[in-house]
Amino acid sequence: MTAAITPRRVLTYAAAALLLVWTVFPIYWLLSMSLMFKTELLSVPTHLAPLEPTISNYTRLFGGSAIGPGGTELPQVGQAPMIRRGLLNSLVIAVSVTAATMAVALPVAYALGRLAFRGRAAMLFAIILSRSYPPIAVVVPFFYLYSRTGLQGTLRGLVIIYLTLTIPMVVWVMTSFFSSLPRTVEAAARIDGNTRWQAFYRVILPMSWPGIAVAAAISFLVCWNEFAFSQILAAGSTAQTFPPALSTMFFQVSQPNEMAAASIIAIIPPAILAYLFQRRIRSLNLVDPL
Amino acid sequence: MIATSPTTQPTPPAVAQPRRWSTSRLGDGQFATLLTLPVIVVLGLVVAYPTLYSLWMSFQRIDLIFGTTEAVGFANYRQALTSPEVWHSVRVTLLYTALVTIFAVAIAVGGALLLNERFRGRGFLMALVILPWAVSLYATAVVWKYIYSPEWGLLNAVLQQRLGLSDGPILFLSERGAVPALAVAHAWQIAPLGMYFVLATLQVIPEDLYKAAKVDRLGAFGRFRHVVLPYIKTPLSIVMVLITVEAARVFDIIFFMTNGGPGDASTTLTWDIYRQSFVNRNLGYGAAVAWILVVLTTIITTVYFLLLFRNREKRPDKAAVGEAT
Repeated sequence: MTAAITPRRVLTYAAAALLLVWTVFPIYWLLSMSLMFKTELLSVPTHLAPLEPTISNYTRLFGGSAIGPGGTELPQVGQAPMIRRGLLNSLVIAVSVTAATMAVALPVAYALGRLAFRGRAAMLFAIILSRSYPPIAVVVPFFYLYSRTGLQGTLRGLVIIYLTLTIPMVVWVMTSFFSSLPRTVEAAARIDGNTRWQAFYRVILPMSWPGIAVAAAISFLVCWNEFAFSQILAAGSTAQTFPPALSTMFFQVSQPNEMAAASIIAIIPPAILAYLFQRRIRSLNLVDPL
Repeated sequence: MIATSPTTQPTPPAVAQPRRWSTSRLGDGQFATLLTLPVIVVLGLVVAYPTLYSLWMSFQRIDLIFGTTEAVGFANYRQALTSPEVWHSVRVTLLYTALVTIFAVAIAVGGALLLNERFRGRGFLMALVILPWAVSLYATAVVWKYIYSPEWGLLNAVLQQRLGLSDGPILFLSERGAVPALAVAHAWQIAPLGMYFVLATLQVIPEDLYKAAKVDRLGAFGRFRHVVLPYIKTPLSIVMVLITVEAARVFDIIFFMTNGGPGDASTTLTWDIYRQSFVNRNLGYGAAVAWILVVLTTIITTVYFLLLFRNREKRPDKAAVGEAT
């Protein structure tokens, strides 16, 4: 099938090319940097792609040693142990926060999405307000409270404050999802002998797993990508997550290639999740759940 | 709504046994209360309590080293509202927020209109455009710092070395350029979600309307003005308000890219709060400035909420969805 070349088609493909470049190039550049030796990065004119690609920036982050372009051994990455510890902390926190969030947020999202009750509008407003609360304003009282209760620099402390981000987000997303299910589900479940709670727990929840999976993925991403709380409440401690560890590397020494490699590692889990769920994210309304 | 008439109750197997308590005895309102109770307790502890605490803090002078507090009344607020630094950062915040919103909305609407067309590779592109949204804000900052870098930046490599548009490396994060440059980076990250949302709205516009527009001989602009705009007007305002709040909350991007500089050229309210609270360790004053920001974002959020609720039945984008369900 060949289509006629019309001005509109030319324009469409030009715009598509532009959108592609705009979306991909910044990340491409980071990837390209992460595959270069520093000597190549500093060459003028700048190479737009690595001539001799190397994975040494990645292997050295995980404790390996590597030979540089001149045949000499490259220096160890001083922050490598911190980066590895940060990855582990980020994973532990993201998983525990997501589990806790689901337990608390799913029932209320079900109520908001499917039941008419007094205070529903007020509840929704409270959820939106908590969602728009500036994190930097949240962290000021937390910093003071944590400094007096010993929660500073602990995984527990970070899990607690991350709930302020994930719960409103998940309630928002799942309210939208639950309200999109057919209205007759509960009535049918009740005729089959289920109580109200069983109708929710045994019928609605299992049929909602696609929505729950997306909500869990989003909650995981929010924790994985969070920087400010961890930087302010746990920087330099054993509970420090990946992003503050990365920031130390970013500011202390000039190691742009190793830094680019570490950033690519940070981007991989979210990119995979976004790819897996992009169709659902598109159909799921993240903006307007009512 | 869910039927609550007794006919839907299961017939009890043994009438002699006392009936066990069950959630089926509850009305809609009572069952909803039961379901919302956990979230009220948790959000009360992790949101409401710290919020009230920070209100109290904003009326104190707090000494972290000696662990003492002293009530100072409105002194922190007086100091904040008369401080030229705070007003400067309010102006920077407003400029930054406006720029991010304009850039991101332009990208979102442009991208959505494009993805609503038919062309080869459309599915691939549609899957790909979400990528920046998955990149965290701090990683976005790292990415764009390296794009803008005068030493090894991609932009300078192209603009200066390949195209020869400039003699020396362009300093994008200069005093004048910093805020717009940061806003571009933020818009890159935030636009995809808006793009998906606008696209979803575009796809519910009935095909007939386009045909009618063709009969009326409307051009591309006329189609946008009379067919597309009425549908996307409300969803678009919702996206705009959301992006505005996100932009006003910016922290990671400033931290990684400029540290509020050069000088205080990119010192937003959030950065001012950070500096006062955690660098100068002036927590009471920081809390007071934070409340100025909270008031600002609360106003924006209230507008957003009213937009969602108001004129629901009049919205063409919702009417179409309502019929389908």
